[in-house]
Amino acid sequence: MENAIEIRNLSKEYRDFSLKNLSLNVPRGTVLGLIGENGAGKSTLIQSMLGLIKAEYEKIELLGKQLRNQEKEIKEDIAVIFDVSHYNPEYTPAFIGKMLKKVYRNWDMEKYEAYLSRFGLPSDKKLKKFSKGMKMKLEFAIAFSHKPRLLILDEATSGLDPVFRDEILELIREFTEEEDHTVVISSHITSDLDKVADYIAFLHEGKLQFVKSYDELQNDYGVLHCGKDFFESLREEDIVSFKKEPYEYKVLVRNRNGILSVFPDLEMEKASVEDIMLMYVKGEA
Amino acid sequence: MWGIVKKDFYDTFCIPKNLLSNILGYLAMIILAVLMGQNRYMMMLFVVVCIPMTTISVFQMALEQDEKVQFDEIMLTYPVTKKEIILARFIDNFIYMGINTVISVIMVLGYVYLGKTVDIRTGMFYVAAGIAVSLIATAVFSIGFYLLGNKKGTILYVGMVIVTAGFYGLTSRGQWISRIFQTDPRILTGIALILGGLLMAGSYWVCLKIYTRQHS
Repeated sequence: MENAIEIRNLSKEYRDFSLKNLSLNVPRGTVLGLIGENGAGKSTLIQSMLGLIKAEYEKIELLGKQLRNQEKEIKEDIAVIFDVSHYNPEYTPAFIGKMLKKVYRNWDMEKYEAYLSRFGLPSDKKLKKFSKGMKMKLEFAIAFSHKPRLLILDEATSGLDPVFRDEILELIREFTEEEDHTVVISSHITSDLDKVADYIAFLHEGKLQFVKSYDELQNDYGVLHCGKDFFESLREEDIVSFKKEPYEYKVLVRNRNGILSVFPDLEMEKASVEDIMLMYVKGEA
Repeated sequence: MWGIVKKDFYDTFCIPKNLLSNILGYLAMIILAVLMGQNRYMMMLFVVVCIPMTTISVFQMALEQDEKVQFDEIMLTYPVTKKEIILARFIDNFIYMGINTVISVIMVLGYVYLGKTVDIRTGMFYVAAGIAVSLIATAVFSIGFYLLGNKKGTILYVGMVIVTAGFYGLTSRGQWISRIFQTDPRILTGIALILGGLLMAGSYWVCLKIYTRQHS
């Protein structure tokens, strides 16, 4: 499968944080969920791969184009949505449309107006009168109106209520119906990723811990609660991390099916994205 | 790039606070001009100092609005390069310089034909001198705003305007300017314009370096 994103050996050094030799491939037509605690490097990764900040890298290729010398062309085909709107509250959707018509070659005003109408957004009302949810819908209307092939959401669903988040996830699903449309979602709300992600990339302290397909995570990873004896009988390579709790061990294991074939009566939950993230961050390896 | 220029002019002339301050600024100037009548030095103050010094205001007002919502974050995701972003700000300055020149010419025509203060040739030299001042001031203030941001940049700007106007007022009510012009106005104006143009080119380069550094 062709990749929408190919990153090789990306590093970014700050005084108190660094992103280290990160390599990542995202196949076209898929949804990648980017998870990690605050300060793990998710935003740094997104900003670096878009060329918003200067970083060291061997290769960053987006939609078949090299970031080093085709940044402008790449950005014609990309839409980025942040957690807050960066448009002035004094602007109206109508003005934003007129401005962006002069920014994007592919800007489709009819499509934009159709989205505004579909989302119930008045085109002549100032943004200062919009709710957070309306502003986020406007961001999607903007994003979809220049026909992007890569949509990047940086914590875009945080701060939205569950109903609104669900609508947003529906829009993402709709966007990915086109087979060459790719989405990268960085989110703290891991339950959202459970609903839409095909792949999960987990960043911890600036290092990419893994990139796995969602199905692989669901099938391979499990969480079990057990006593000390059982914990000690587990093979070391099956234990991803564990937490010693007052009366039991909570263990994140890989090779879930293998373990279940040896212990068929064992009660083991499938690990959610949140379980995996929490156990990686808080558990002992 | 033209989308950014459009946005900057919207910030300057359509956001109520900025629109009001622009209207009040021009109104104050008209009232002063009418009150001071045929005063030649007042005319020079307007055409050579005050109007040219306002050229940077489109950039300042746009920067103020951008800082409020961190517009750079989204702007850098647009298909525009950092060079084009800086160039857009310089295009803002040149467009506003053009508008200011038209205002200066109208004012000078008023002084020439209504007030009979100066002849048309002298008046047009003042306009040319105003353009040179505008180029020099805009070049300096653009660097100041990119380097210091809106708040500190505005303090620098206001400070420089006061110092320049004060210097002008103190030096024999501006007679030094007349003396300079009497020596060889064409050459002096030409030199000032070339200097202004070179400073603008240098300022573009410095602003680009500052902006690139700020976003890396």
